[in-house]
Amino acid sequence: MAESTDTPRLGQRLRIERVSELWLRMAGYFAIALFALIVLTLVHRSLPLLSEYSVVQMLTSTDWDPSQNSFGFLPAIVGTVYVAVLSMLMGTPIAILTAIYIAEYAEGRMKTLVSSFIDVLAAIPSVIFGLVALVVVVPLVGDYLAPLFGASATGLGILTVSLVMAIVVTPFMISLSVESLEALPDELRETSLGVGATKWETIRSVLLRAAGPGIFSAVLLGFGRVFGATIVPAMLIGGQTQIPDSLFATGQTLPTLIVSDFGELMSIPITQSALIFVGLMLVVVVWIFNFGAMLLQRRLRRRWQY
Amino acid sequence: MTRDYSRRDALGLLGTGATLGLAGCFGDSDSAVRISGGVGPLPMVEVWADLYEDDHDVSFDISGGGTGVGVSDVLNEQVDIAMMGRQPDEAEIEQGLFAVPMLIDTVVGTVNENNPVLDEIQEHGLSREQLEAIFTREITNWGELYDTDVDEEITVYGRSDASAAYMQWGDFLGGEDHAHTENEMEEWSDGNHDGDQRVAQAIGNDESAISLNNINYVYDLESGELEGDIRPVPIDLDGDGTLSEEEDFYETREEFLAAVEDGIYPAPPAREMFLSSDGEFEDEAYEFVEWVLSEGQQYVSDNGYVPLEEDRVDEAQTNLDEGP
Repeated sequence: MAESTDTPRLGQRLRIERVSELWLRMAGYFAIALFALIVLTLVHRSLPLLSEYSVVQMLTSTDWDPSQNSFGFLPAIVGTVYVAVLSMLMGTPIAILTAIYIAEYAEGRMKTLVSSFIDVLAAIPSVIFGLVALVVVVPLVGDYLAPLFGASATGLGILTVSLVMAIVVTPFMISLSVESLEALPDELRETSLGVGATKWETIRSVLLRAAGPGIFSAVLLGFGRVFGATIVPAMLIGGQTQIPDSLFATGQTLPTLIVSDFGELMSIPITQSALIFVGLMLVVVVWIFNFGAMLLQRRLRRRWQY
Repeated sequence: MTRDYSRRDALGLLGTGATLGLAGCFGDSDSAVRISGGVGPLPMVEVWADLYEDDHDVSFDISGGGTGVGVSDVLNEQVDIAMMGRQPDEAEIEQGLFAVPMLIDTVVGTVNENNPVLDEIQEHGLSREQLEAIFTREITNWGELYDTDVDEEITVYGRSDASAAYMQWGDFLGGEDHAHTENEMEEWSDGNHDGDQRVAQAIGNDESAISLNNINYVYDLESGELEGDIRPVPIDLDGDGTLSEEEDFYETREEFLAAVEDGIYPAPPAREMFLSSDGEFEDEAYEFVEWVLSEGQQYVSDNGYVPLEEDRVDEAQTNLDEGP
């Protein structure tokens, strides 16, 4: 009798097992359903626009003026690509070097200190980066950096956004890279050092190769994040829907296009549809990047086996 | 010592409490007038709602978000009234939107308090043609405007968000029958900021900049004097190169608002703002709008807006009664 109160009978345990499995599975399916629902809503709501204008024409037109019913997405697309590529060019080297330092060189208290600061940095809301940048980076770029290159600028623009976004996404990329470096087995390091390689040689030709897939997908995920970044570009890009002709020029990204028009024009059906179509493009591109990161990681892992 | 409750009990209680609290919120919203929409008229509507609540048995639930958001909300029946900073669009009226004017709001050109030619600007003003030339980049140096030795490039800032104030400014600059669209204005400027506050801040930080702002960002809210780091740009209405006595009303908010009310200050950039609903206003919402159009008008000037003219109020009243 005492036994049965402590451990329920097998049938009951199996029933609990089945119920909890069902719950977990439903939770999993829910995530998929949510994604599908979002994409379907976006597609459904973009249809009014797509039925009236040709996609190719909209993607290649530079004329964006919702109040005149002209929807050209090219300037925003070019702006988004500029910002994403520039931020990655600036952020990736820093991220990888920092990750190597944290994972391989830093020890003891220093390691805890640096990595916890990186975590804090990753947790700071990006609007705060935007605010600080308005006070610090905008005058820096406008008053010092631009005259250096002989350009006159207010400090708002593509370069400023890229600089700040590089700072915003590096902590994220560092964390992921550190994780993949630290996941490597110690035998790998010992073997390499054992055959006479120096520490830097070990890192360069063994560890970076072995952790390569992880680092690569970290970079791709970072790229996706910059692509969808909203508040920092909205505050710093200068909001001009034109194709930027220099690094200091102002511009527009796809998310800022939504931010700057939805408040005033959301209630006009065709504009609403256009803004939702921008959202759809963003979701699709970011999804492709995430999916690509996953595929690439799997592929590289097979090739770079240790 | 024994505890006769467990952590789980406490959590359960908390959950129940929270659920009840939420239910309470939903219960409340039945008797509240829900309002959302443009951030331009928001401060005034909040003041009205406070005053109205004191005398009537109604509560309000007010949020901003932008004119478009308000209109979407009202058409989806999320709210009872939408505040609009611009006239309703054709496409919105087709969906059943019905709007009545509530007040007049206005923007002025703004420069930094340390602008290199501030004294000249305040003495001579700038004509519409001059302002147009500045904003369309035909004139790019402050020295070009007046007979001075100043050599300082003009920085032009605008709004990056779709904004009714910016649109009206474009209409004003273009003169009769030739409005500059918001999009053109955005492209001419050196940089655009999201929202009135940020534009004001940018002007405050840049001695050579010009832009436009709602007058509540120009005059001090309490005293109505010029106190911050931005100054209004007087408009030389007849374009004779001097600011005559009738054209000089920028010293205090009170003076300025009186000039807008008398129609001396041009419209645009002064513009009407609207309250709208999905079809006719109903019950409490109707009562409130009627109150706004009658008693409510007397509080408008104190809050940095301009009341509607009497004719316009009568017209709005009739519209309100007749419905769409």
